[in-house]
Amino acid sequence: MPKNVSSSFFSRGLLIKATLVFLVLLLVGLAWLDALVRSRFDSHQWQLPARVYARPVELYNGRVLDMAHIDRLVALMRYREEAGASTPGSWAREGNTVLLHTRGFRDSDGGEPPRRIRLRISNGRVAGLASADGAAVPVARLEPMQIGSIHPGHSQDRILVRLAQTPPELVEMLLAVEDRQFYEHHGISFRGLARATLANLRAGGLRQGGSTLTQQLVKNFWLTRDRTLSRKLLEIPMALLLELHYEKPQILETYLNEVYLGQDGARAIHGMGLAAQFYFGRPLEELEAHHYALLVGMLKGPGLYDPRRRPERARARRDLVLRASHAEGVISEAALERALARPLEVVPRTGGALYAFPAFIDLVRRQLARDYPPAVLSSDGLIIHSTLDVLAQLAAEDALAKALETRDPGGASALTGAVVMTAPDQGDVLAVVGDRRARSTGFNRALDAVRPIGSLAKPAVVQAALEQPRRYHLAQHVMDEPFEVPLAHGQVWAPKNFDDKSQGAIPMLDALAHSRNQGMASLGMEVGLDKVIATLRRLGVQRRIPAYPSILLGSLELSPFEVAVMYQPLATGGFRTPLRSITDVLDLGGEPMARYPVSADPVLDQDAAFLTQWSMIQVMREGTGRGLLGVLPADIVVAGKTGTSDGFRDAWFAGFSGNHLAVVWVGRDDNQSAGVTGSNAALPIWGQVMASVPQRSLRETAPPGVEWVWMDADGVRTSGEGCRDARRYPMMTASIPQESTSCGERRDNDEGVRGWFRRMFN
Amino acid sequence: MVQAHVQLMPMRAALAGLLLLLGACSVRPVMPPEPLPPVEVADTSPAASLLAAADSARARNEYSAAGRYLERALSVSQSGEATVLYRKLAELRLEEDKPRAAEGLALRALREAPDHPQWQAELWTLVAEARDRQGDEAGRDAARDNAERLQQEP
Repeated sequence: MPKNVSSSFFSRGLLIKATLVFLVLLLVGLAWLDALVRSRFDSHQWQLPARVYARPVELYNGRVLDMAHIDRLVALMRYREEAGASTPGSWAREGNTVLLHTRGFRDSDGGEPPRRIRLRISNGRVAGLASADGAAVPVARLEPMQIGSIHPGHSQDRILVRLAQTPPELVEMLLAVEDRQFYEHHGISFRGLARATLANLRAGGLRQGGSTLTQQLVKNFWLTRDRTLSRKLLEIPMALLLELHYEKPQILETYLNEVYLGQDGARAIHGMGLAAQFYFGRPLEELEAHHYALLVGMLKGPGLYDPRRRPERARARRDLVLRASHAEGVISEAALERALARPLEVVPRTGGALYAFPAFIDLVRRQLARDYPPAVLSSDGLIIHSTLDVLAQLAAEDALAKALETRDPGGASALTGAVVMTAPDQGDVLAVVGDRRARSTGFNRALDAVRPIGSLAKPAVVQAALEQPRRYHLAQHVMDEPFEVPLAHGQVWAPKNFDDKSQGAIPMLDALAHSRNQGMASLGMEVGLDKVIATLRRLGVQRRIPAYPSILLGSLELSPFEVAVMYQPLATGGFRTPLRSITDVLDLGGEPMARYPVSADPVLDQDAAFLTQWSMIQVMREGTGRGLLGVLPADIVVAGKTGTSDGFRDAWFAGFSGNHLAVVWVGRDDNQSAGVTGSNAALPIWGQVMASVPQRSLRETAPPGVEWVWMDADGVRTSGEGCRDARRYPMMTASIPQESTSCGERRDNDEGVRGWFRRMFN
Repeated sequence: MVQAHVQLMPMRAALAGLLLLLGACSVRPVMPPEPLPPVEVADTSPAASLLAAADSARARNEYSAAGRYLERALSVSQSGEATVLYRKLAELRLEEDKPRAAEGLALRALREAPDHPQWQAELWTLVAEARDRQGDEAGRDAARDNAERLQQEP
């Protein structure tokens, strides 16, 4: 007996001990789970990639804008046409008047509220701008288009939506279909589970999960997606713990933002906010019942009910959700009928502005990577205002694609190209095209095709010369004739002209305007390679520049973007303004975090820079750029330079007006002869690109240190107006020869007391 | 030629002084010169409302907002307005205690300036202040000289 007693006692003791151990383990386990749930939920930071936006389209009287532009903009911005444009994101057209209901946005200057604006278009320009109630509006902005998101390190993407901003109808539909007892249960629903089990038994297989939203969130948040028993075992206590610590609205909001709703290549679509953009191209708050029903329906299987790949199945699922919502009293009978009649209205994956401009985003990414650590970019939800001008970008893409298609149909000769367009006043990069197929995400030629720049280097030679005004002026003759420069190892450099002819002594101006290689090379050798290199440096060339004479004719290799940098000071009369692709960075709440302000550093002698610019205007009027006549309005003064590399491998044109600068490169990736020249291949594209944006003329008003002077044919003595072979040049005061021909008035300009004062003090 | 030029300078300066003196003593009635219209952005210009918004942001010490308004104004500006906007940007940078940036922008405003001595003199004064704040005394004096010379022009 005692043995028995002791054995029974022993076994009972063991049982108690085992139970105790089990309880302790359970408690430890629960404590561990609790810590897991709380730490993850409390410290939860949405992985919000930085969003990159294009420059908002500014509307104001006189702005160049036609109906084709409007059509393009409303399509890209997914505005819906609706009489009266009563809600944000809608528009209406009445003859030549357009009513736009903008969506509003945040910016460093506070941004814009959503508003209705009436826009009258006449002769390709905005001829009237008013609010819908008729009050005149001086300037209005459309909300900027999102053109990309930056998420290094992970591939989750989402647009955070607060519960308060979430349309109530969507939430009600979600609860009606996924979790009717959400507000009653404590994490798990036995009624739901029973119903699901019953349904599954009836269907003879697993159809309904019976999980509450809380359980689904736990699955999404903490557990792997595969259905294992251990996962199921963890799911229930975790759901209970979650409900213990957090309020229903918190759980619901997290669910709405966390839920997985599809895949866009490597990018996972999380949350209702991003899904609304991804499937319907519009913000969540602009959607309607039939859209909500589709999103709710897709929760069950985003791949299975993908409306793009399986539209019929997706529609059936949507309709099911609509009927269930009606049965639960979420929508009325009439609303159900209206919603059922609507098509899916899913937008194509391409065709919007998002990810449409890979070459530009590439540039933004590089600029951001300099200033922000990857973790910040991928999770803090920064709002990045970029400088991309969508209309200019599209025009540049079109111009390049069309010109190359004409020259090389179907790409048989593998001809390709790149375009960079900037606004030199602010240094804004407006457009970057890195391929004739602009949507291609491959090699970005605008940034990475580093090619010999040919004659694009010549303005630097002229600038270097003119900065010694006592030695050089534009009328001065240079020798366009064969010459040789001995190099190391017994080699000889003997520059040749494009036409294999030599013109002898010609004015420096003509040597540049007609791109005479021998004339410019002899000038460069006389000025000195060191001075030309120093000038290239001041222009912003950062690459190593070999001190070979061939750099005078552009053996220097640069990317189109670097050429845009180099031409910036030439466009602004001597100021370097760093090119920027970003203007402002805002935090998730729309508060300004950082600005990239406009700056201007004088890097060139300004009087000389005026002369260089003026000589580049003459390139367009009478030199290698004159082929452009008629493409741009005749009264718009522009300047530029052609460039062609050896063997017709690279065709360049770089030039500018008073408010835009563009660089065009055409060539082949394999560096073989493309049979192209700056004039015949790059210049026409440049003309089309520049014609597509509103242009302002360059100023031809001479700065105080420059006078207009008539010079004799030899460029040695001043002359008078109307004298034989006399030509008028702008000239730095220090360059004006003392010697004069006997013909006519010595100077035709800058007379009187002021001119006298100026000359006296110069 | 270089020599000749250098020797000419003091002679010219002396002559200028003499002329000014003569001008001052002259008994001929001096007609006050017609004042040039002020350099500004026209009310009807799209840049005008942005400029006004920039001014009020600046008054509230919201420099980021003011800068953004001014840059927007620059991007919609018509010819002749850039000089006003660069000047405003330069003044803003000076207030933000960024004298180097202010100097560059003031010089840029000068590059875009019309033939208007008073306006140019004001810009040179701005350059002088920006240089002074950088400790560049020689540069400051040169800029002041330019301003003074322009102020004496008719």
